[in-house]
Amino acid sequence: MQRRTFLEWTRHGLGATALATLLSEDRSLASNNASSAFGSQVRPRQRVKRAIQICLVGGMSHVDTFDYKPALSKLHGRAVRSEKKPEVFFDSIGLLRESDWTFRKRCQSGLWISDLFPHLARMADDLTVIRSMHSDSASHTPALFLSNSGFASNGFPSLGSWLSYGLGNEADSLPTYVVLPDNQGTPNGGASNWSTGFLPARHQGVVLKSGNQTVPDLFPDKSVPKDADAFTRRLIDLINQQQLVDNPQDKQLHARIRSYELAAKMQTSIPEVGNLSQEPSYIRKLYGLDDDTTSDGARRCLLARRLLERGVRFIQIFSGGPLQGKPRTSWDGHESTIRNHTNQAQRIDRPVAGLLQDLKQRGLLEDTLVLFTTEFGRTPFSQGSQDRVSPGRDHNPKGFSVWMAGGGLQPGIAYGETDEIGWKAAQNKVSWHDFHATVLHLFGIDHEKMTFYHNGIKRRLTNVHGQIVREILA
Amino acid sequence: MLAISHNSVWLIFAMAVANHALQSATVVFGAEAEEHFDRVVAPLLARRCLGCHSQETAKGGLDLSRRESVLRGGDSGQIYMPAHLTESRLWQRVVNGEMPPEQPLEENELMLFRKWLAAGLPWGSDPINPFLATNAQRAGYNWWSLQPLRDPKLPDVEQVAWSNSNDLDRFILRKLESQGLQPSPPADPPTLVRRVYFDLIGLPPDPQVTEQFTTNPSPAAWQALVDQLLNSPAYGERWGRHWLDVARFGESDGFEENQARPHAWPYRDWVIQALNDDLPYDTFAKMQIAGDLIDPGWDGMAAAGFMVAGIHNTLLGASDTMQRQGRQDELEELIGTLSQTFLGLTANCARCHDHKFDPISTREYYQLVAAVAGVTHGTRELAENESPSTLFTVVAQAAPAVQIHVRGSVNDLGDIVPAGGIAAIQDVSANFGLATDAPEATRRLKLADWIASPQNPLFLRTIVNRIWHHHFGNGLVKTPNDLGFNGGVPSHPDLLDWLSIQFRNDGLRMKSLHRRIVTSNTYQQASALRPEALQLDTDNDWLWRYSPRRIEAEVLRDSILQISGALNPQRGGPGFMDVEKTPLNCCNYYIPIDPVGEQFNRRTIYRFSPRGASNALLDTFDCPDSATAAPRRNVTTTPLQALSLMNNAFVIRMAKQFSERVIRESGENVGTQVRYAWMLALGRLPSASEEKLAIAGTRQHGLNAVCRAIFNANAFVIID
Repeated sequence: MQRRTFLEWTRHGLGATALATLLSEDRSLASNNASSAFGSQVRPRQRVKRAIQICLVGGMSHVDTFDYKPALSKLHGRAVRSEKKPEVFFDSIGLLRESDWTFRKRCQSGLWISDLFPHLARMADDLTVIRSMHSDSASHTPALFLSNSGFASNGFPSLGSWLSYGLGNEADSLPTYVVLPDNQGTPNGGASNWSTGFLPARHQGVVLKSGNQTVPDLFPDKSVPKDADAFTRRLIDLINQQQLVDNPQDKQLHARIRSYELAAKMQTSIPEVGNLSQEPSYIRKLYGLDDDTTSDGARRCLLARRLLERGVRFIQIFSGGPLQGKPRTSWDGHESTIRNHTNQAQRIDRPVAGLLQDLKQRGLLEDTLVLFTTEFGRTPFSQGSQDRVSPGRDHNPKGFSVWMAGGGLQPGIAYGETDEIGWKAAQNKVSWHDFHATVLHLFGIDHEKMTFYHNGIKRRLTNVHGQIVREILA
Repeated sequence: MLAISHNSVWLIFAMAVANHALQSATVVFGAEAEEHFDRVVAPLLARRCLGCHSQETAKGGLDLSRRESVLRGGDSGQIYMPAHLTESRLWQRVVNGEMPPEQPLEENELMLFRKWLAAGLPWGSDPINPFLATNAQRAGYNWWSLQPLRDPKLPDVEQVAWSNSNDLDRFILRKLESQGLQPSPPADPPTLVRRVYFDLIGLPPDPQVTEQFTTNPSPAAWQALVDQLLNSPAYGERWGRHWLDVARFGESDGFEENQARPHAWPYRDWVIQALNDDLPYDTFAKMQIAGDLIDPGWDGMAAAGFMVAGIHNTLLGASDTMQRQGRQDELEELIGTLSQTFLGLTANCARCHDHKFDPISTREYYQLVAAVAGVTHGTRELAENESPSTLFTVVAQAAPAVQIHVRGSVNDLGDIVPAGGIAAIQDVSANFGLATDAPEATRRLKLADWIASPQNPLFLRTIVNRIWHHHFGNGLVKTPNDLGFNGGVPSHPDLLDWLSIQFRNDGLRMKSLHRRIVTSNTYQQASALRPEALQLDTDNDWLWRYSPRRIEAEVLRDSILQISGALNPQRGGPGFMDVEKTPLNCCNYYIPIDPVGEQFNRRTIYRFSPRGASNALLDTFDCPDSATAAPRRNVTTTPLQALSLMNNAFVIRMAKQFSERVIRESGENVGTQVRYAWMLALGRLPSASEEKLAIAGTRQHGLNAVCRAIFNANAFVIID
């Protein structure tokens, strides 16, 4: 780690020196590669400083949400025309099925959004929808990994970890990258989704749970009385400070002493940020905090806003828990898209719309990015026997929709198109690498320059791919 | 800068040779000229020009790897005009020292280049093989790590006395002297004992051992101590962990289903035992590649677990393409692990295109694939000692004929290739002499012989560098899994080769290499910072001191257990579970729990280690998730790490056990208790102020509050 370049990119918040010290002993080998990529040229113009990702576990049907396909209604009940048998997960291809929701043009922008998201639809003018996403995997976990890390297998750092690595922290007593799983459970792939991979451990996503131990080991258990705890800290400090007298130049030791100071700060700041009781009632209502259906989503969206107000760089909110289950607890409408998507959407529609509105009214949306992603879309044809229109849809990685909102984007537009029936991305196709390159660009990071050496390769979030989607930029 | 005089004799000579009308791309030059080009000119171009000016990366649209494109020129037009040779831009840019930038051609190179231009660009192989020579962008056949081992002369040094007991020291001292650095004096005996204990067995010494050595710190006593540690079964547990990091050993499949592998532990046990038995390294490697064929009993089957220790996607889509794609992904994972582990090469990068940085072709990648194409994941039943046992290992299938996948696509298949190796590695033949339909066993055994040949220079350099890395915190090459172009260059190339040759002469015994290293003066230096040396060499690349190191997550946990008198010495067998497996339909989650009981107090290497199972204490101390190989662990210091070491329930429980042990063994006197606790954990007595505060605290809060602080002391987690 080169101190000079590091200091250039931690201007805010945390005493740069302290963090520099923490970093200086990360022997990431990298003075000759990993971090030397960082200089002023990496962040010519930083449009956003922080991001919230609403990460849908499973596949949200784009033809039922953001990708209006009138032709699909006309072709309802027909067989899909294709030279080759479509590649889907379960290999049982039913007849085409029209959307189960009505689409309407929304707000001034006239974006098409279906009735599945009535609250979000009212924020249409703030959304930048990409309707031409495509992915390489039709299996849940690899597809979820792809959306987070650009790679289909375990072991690669996710977007949040890369942002932490690239930009450092603005808060000295909160983690850089916070993960808020759905209370329905942990998504498929579990902690591998927010793993730091081969990046240093500090870039790992930190799960904040509700309750007392929001972070593991934040406080000792009840067996340790407060005064004994205070004594232990004093003694730790004494032992370390004495060593420092003999070794004033020991950077590692400085870092350790500092880490205990920051730990103490965290014990105050984490409970403070999680205390939603300070929020006024109109805010609670805006997010839907007191409604049983929306309370979990509302709590996490509101917490996300509070976290980013305090300098957290990246917050990942999962929508959907483990795969399968009865009823399914993620966006996975194999049996019935209506039942499944209604259940899932009503848990997050109001909270996410509330979050957008709240960020906007506070002026935060100007330099914040909100990402709304899914593993893949769903097929325009139903899943089931080939002579029927069944109620469910299978995985469709060939075409699907996501949206972004916030700084540096053109709001109220839809970019890219799928084919007539919404099966495959057809125009202005966008891959996850392109998506990630664009997000990094909005943060002022050149996706080709942010690298970390691991086992023979200077790894990037975008592997060897990635084109910035310039057409959606402001 | 070169000072080239335009009227120098050779130039006039060349001008005379320059003839006319050489614009045609199809000129025939004759076998001799072609041979000369391939042997002399092409390597020059490859070394000096093709890094920027070859096919895919042709800067300025100029591709110098093909004759036709040289004649055509680049984006800015023609560069070669035979009639006006001295005005040709190809010549002008080079002779003026503008190209190649920064390092213009040497005079003899320039001469060669000029003659070649003047002769009308006689050409041989077209395009030029980019592997011919190393240049600024990539490694060629002449890359250092691919060359045969050299047997370097022992270097001459000034301070003979420092280096005359162990020749290793002469190599280090030579570099130090040439850098104007002095070695550090030896560390004091208690520090040395602590260092070598953590290094060789991953556990702290008993105070008695420290005391004994401190009273008689003779070379003979040091030798005896080292031998005792190397003969301890704890050695295999410590160094086995290093190996398992490289072998990306984990006990679940990863990916979606993430099924547990309850029968994967025999591989872990085999590694520990093999290290304790000091198995020669070639046997150690061969058994892991093909143990199921070499020795189809328990040992061989367990050893072959290496091949399938990585992540495995068990839930592929139903379509044929997805199935075949999934299989190719598995094979890439395997080739990557094999080549990085044993050869320090990233052959996996050649799956879709020739390796961008090292001389490994896609054809060679598929030759390696052909050698392992029958390897699949599975369990096998063995009747061992009359009772059937199950282990997770290679289940060999009939190996198919393997075709090159053009650009990595499963739908664009090229030539069928036989099993074979990488030609760039010298002293071993990449040609296995096999037909494309050779049986699975033959292919894999040939691969094992090629990789693990004592003649294979990369095989030896890679392991010697790994072992050095673990002793010093940095390898002689700082990237243990990559001795290719993207990796580091060796700080002491002669030493690396010399050690490799000694290692081979010692029968490829790792313990002899450990002995050679830890008995050196280099290893026994003090770690204290010396300002004058720090200024010259901040990172201690030249080893003027011993670099202090933070202990790894597992060593931390094991040491806490040992000091608390709670370490359960049970070795081998299924791991203890500190996670709760929660299956949910197809998927498995591993939720961390904190189980209490002796059976959970075993060394951490015996922890059941599924992927994606987080453990706050281990994670914050940079314990990798084993999804990919971790040849070199990160070392970070974070507030979350501090919180875990202070507040983790395990740590608090052990602080209590530690205090109980101290009281049990040292009696009622609080001062004695405090001093004894310091000795046990830190190998030294407390200072006056430490003792004063600790005694007061013990009286007020109990000794466990003191013990908890000791676990958190910097001195506890650092080996110096």
